[in-house]
Amino acid sequence: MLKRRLLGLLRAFLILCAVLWSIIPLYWMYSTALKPGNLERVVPPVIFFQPTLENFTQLLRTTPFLLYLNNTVIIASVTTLASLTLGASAAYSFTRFRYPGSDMLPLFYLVMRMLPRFVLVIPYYLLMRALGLLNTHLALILAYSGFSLPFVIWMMIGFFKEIPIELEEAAMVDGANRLTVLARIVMPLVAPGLAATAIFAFLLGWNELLFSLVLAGRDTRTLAQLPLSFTTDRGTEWGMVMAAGSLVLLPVIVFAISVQKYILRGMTMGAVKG
Amino acid sequence: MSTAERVSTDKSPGARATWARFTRSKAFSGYLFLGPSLILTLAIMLYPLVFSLIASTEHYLLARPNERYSVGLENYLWVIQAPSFLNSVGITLLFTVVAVSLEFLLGLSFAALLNKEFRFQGIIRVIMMLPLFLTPSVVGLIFVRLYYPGDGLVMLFLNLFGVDRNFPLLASPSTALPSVILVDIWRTTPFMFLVMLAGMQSISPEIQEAASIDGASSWQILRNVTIPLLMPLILIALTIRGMDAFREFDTIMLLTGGGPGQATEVISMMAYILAFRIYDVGRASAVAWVILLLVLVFSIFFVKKLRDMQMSA
Repeated sequence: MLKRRLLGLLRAFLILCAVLWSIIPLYWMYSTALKPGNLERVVPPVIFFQPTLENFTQLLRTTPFLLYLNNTVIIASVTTLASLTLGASAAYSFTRFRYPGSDMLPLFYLVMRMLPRFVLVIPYYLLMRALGLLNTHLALILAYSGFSLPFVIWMMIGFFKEIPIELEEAAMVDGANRLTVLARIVMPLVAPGLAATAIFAFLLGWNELLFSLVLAGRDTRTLAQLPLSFTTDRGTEWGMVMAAGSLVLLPVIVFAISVQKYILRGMTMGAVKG
Repeated sequence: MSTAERVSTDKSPGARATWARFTRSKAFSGYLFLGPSLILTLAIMLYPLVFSLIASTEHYLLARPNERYSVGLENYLWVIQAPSFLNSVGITLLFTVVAVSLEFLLGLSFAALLNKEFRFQGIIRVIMMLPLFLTPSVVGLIFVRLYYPGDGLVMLFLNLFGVDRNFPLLASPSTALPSVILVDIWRTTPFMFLVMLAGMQSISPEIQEAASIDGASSWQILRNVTIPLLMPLILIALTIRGMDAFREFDTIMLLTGGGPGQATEVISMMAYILAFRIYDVGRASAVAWVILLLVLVFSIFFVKKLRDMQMSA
């Protein structure tokens, strides 16, 4: 009995450690962002203090945060829309039609998902330079749509497979054409899966650094690049740096919580349903 | 004459009929749905691949695009002999193997710990998976602050064990790579945790109960029952994480930029520096292609495994 209680306590303690391990870096960032400047570098760190927004107002006043935010929202949203439209129709094609290539092409997309992106960045940069698309939103939108396609396709293959084909066949026997069936029957059924996939695709555009670094110019930089500009010339203004980080992560945290049911699927290309 | 006539009169309606049949066939609708996505993939991914394959056999400096000429396999010869390439491959492998195996062990332990029902489990699981979603460059930034000599939280913690809190972890050749690895472990252990947890919850509790009635300890059950049952899943998780760790760029760029010296110059960092700091497109492309071939071998292995799993499922 005693042994059992001790084991229970030990387990609770270990769980607490695991939770602290995950949360402390985040807590540290948010608390630094909210700390008044004079407490920022006090050792040992002050835990209780009067929170202030001075770091945030300074961030908005002195850095191009809003420009980067605007770029990132445009790029990530258009990427999501494009890759979802193209990817979902490709996945529908793979799950509903038989034709030469319908077996092998999904595997081709799986290999594409595994491709290291840095392999593509050089030729892609040269291509965009030749087309005069450097420093445009379009260059990043095209790149990110290409990258998220394999992911979207594999997620949606899983969701489409869960819908019994008989439903569609019955509607088509009743005279509905394929597009009507798709719009009225299939899409409403996969809507939750589509929404989860959309969030993952959006996060790709939100989080990606390498391509943004190479392709974006002064007017089109994205939020993932913001930390980089700080470490070079503003190394010491930690309060403001952490305020920037907190703002970049805020939507990510909200999204993460909203798709938790689908995380595993997303992270394993549908291999693990979770 | 009459045969030829028949053929010529038959031909166009015949072809038209075949075309008409094809456009009404399921295959045609299939291609119609697939077409746009395939075109984008070819343009965004396949074209750059072919381009870089050609560039990898050329003398090609970004600053002098008009002086391109073929050099055969010279770039590849340079790559496989360059000490910096061997260094990068070594560091990448070390980074990948150490990070992924520690993430696996930690993720497995977290999953074992959180598998049973308990209070607050919903919120605790959300907290535990959060790091996985965070913008990697911001994670890098947070850890630059945590590692900051003097008053970074990690330094204050290490100070409790007698380490000098002014020690520059990220700027010292011996500690830079372990520090970078720790960041990767923090960021992606949730992936392993989630996969292992899902696996454990799919195993029916009776199996474990049976083993427990037969007198097996929890450790024996984990080792001899749970892990063998999870093996296919473990393989998938290790492969996916391995591939992602292999191409890690964002956090390293933020933390060390590949330094000090070349102590954390993983292969993606090396290709980036070659192409965009030294402007040598030819050699950078050769590096990219050597890596690509290696990754292809792994990913084909992964694809096979995945297909086997889906067949058995």
